[in-house]
Amino acid sequence: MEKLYFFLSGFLTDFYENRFQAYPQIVKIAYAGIFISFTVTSLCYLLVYFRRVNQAYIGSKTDKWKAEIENILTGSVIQFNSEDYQQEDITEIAENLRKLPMHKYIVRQIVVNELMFLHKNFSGKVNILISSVYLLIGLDKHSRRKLKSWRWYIKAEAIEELSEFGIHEIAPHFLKYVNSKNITLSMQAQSGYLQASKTDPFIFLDYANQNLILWHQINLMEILNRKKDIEIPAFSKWFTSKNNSVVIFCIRLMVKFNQTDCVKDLIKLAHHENEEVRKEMIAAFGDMSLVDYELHLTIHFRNETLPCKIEIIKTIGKIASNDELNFLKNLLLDPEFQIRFEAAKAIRKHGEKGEMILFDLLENLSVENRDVVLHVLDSKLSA
Amino acid sequence: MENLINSVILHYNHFIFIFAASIMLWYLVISLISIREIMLYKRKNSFIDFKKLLNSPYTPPISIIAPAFNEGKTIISNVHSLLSLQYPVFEVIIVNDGSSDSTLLKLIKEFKLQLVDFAYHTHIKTGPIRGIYKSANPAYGKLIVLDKENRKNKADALNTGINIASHPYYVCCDVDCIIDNKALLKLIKPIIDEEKQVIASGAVIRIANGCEVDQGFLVNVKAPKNFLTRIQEVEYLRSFLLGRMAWSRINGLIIVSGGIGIFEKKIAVAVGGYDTNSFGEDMEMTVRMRKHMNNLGIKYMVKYIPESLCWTEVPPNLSIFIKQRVRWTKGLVQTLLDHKKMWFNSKYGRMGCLSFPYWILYEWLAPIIEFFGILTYIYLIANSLIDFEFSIVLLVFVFSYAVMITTISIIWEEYTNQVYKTKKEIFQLMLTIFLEPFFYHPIIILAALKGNLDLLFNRQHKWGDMGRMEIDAELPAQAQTVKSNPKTNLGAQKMSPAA
Amino acid sequence: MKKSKILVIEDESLMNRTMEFQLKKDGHEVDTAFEGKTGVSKIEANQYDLIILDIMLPYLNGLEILAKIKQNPAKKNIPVIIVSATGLEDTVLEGFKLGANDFITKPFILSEFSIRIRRLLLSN
Repeated sequence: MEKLYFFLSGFLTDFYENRFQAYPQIVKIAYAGIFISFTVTSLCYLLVYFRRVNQAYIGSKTDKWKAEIENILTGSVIQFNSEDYQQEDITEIAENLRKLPMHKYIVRQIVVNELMFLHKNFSGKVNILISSVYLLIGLDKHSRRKLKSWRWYIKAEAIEELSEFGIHEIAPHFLKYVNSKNITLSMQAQSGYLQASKTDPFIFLDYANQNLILWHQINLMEILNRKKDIEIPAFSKWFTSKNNSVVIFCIRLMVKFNQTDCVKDLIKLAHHENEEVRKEMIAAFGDMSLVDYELHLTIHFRNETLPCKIEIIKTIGKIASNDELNFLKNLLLDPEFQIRFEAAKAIRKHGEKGEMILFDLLENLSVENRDVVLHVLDSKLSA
Repeated sequence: MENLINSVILHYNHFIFIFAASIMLWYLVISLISIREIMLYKRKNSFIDFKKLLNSPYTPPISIIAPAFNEGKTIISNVHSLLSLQYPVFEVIIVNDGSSDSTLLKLIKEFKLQLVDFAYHTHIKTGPIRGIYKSANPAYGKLIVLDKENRKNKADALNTGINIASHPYYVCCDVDCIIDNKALLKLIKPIIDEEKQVIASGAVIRIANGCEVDQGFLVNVKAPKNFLTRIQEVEYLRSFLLGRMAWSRINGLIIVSGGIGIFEKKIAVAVGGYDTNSFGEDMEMTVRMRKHMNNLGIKYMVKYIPESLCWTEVPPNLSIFIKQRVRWTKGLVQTLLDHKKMWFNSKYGRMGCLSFPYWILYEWLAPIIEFFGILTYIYLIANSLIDFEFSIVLLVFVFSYAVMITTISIIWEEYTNQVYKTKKEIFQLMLTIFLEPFFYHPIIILAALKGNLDLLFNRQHKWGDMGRMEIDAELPAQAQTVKSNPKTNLGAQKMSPAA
Repeated sequence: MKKSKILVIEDESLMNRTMEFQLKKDGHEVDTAFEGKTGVSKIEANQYDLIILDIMLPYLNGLEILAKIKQNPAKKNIPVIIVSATGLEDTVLEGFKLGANDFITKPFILSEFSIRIRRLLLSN
């Protein structure tokens, strides 16, 4: 062994002194390159190996902890969901959970995740029980510490945890992230604020100067579906917002909560310069079945852009008041295919009367305008 | 005379040297960029509960367009698996491209299809259609089958599908691909969570050879056993996880593979649909959609997600494989030449100044440069104009570097999808990398050369009459379940061993 | 009342277990499945008195399973309760159209859940 070592070191010194130094620069670089590539490749192999081994180890550990936590939680949740529980009962659950190695970050995180899951899926007594357990074990400290992290994804997680368990006093801290350049963080901050704020859950809409992208809207809607105790303001307040996406979102919310009082403000948006906003406004008339405004829409029709025109036709179909059937009939002769198509669909939505009209039209229309009528009369296509 | 030749060769030698160095540097840069993009995607994703998407009425509806040509053997299970994808609102449009087998009959029987009075409107000009079918059973309400005349052309089939699609986004895929159950949810995600408008997005395509498939569902993912397919797996991984992800980060992607990709229908219609004269319609389409957006001056993005959502069968033997690669090369060169005006054109931003130069130099010309490099090398050795030891050292360097880069791409796979459950499979894959430069790379070079030559000499003859079908038609004799898909026009990332 | 046999198909393990515990506490016999395919094969192999179904499941979604149950003449009389987070009108309606007996939206109150199940079992 020693011999080999001597031989190798001798060989390498000799190689380095007598040959390597005399090489051209490029060959030297190549040698270095080979060395680096070789090292990196071997490191990759080691990385894969140890990662896999480690994963298997961590995986089995987490499974074990998870099973234990689930045992403790499901047991107590079932026990207390019908009977009244005392403070001692909460303490007992907390004691049971404390038996786990809670000094470990990962264990605390699993407990938080499991509690969050139960909190999201069950309402009533269980819901309150879970928040009390969260506070009693002091997991809010865990979340608060995460909020201070410099990594955005840790911060975002913290916001989710704190808001899910309703830690109200922390809500103002979320506001500073509402306009974060990192859109995921800003989304978490928005939905966090919505859940956690007691006084003015929608105030973040005043601050939002970025595009409220669809994914954020879906998220916020989901929270509103789930949490029935959030106070709902009149959304017409934001119809004048400079942020078009906020306006659109508020129109949607207005429809969702059926705020008929806001309709008079909605009308004002008819001259909004943004097409998407106008489209959303038109759709809102249909979704809220505002029969009185049908005429209003048909008057606007001629000056509108194509997407808004189509939206108007759809809306008339949705309202189906029978008053605008002639308007729709005339559109069946429109040169634009999409308008003809939507008009036929809208007539079809008028129930039996609409169907009658379409059958009548079949005989009078020219061949090229007949296709849309046939299409909407086909029951398999409308299904 | 000999002096002249020697001086040319010497200069060429220098050129190749710089060229190779630039490729190597480029690969280092993209592996770093791509890991950033991958990590960002992963972190962002941990905050996404796809169930919320499933439950929301605001999730944009999607049309799936899947052209089928003589797929009688697998069509039924594949359509069932497409119909069972998780998504709130979507439709499945199967375009039967005039199959000569029982494809249509099987569909009609299985799904109780009936002809409907569909108001077919040619938003995009296409060949004639023969009929549109829907199921009498409301459980299959999502399915529309369109029967058209065979044009031996995938682009035409896709265009017909776009014409009857009723939703704002469409996903194009091949009916014989196995699509992940959550694919639509994951594909729509970049579209709804970016500040800028995302006009198209794609996902990682993996190799289905060797996987256990039951009724159109992927039961067990396994590494391909056959050497050629395994090496293709390595190549796909490198191309998608390094190349595509880095380009996605730079926002310079000019290709979304036809295997699986989501596109905004409005823009696809505005640019006139897929080019029926193209060998690589997927790349050509992406380029034109981008061009359109640039001309309009709207800020937009083309994204890729590092998630394996589509499993496809790749050629298991050499002759089909070469045909596939020849076609890819043709598609690539054609697309590049068709858009000469965009080359180095600052009006087209990163696409003109970064993507096009890259594709021209490193994807199109690299095999040619490399080929002549090897010839020079042989000439130099024959005339003993070269220091043998030094050249070997340089070759070893390039080899080890290539191995390193590819190994890194497998590491990225370890960090993202980790589809292989056992350590053994992943190590087998990693060992394959060492053989790639010797056995696989030369074939790719030759196929690329052949593609260039074909295009140079057969331009007039073959124009317009080609398509994936020409490859498919030969398949039954070769392998029964395997279809080669000239969809991933990825023009294989090449490492040039010429030094 | 004889012990009723109930199958719970739900992919979230905590949810699945909570429902299982609750049902066992109420004196039912409970079987569980974590994804659609096992669910279907269990339905085919056993005779259940009630099936609790989530909509978002890997491989096969709840509505498809429901359609399968209702198409099978031997199984179509088994009452099915859908438990889902969906607020989508269409999904709820489709569920009822396909023959679901009840629809419980998450988040829900556990005691209400067990009462609904008891009532369904009695009425059948």
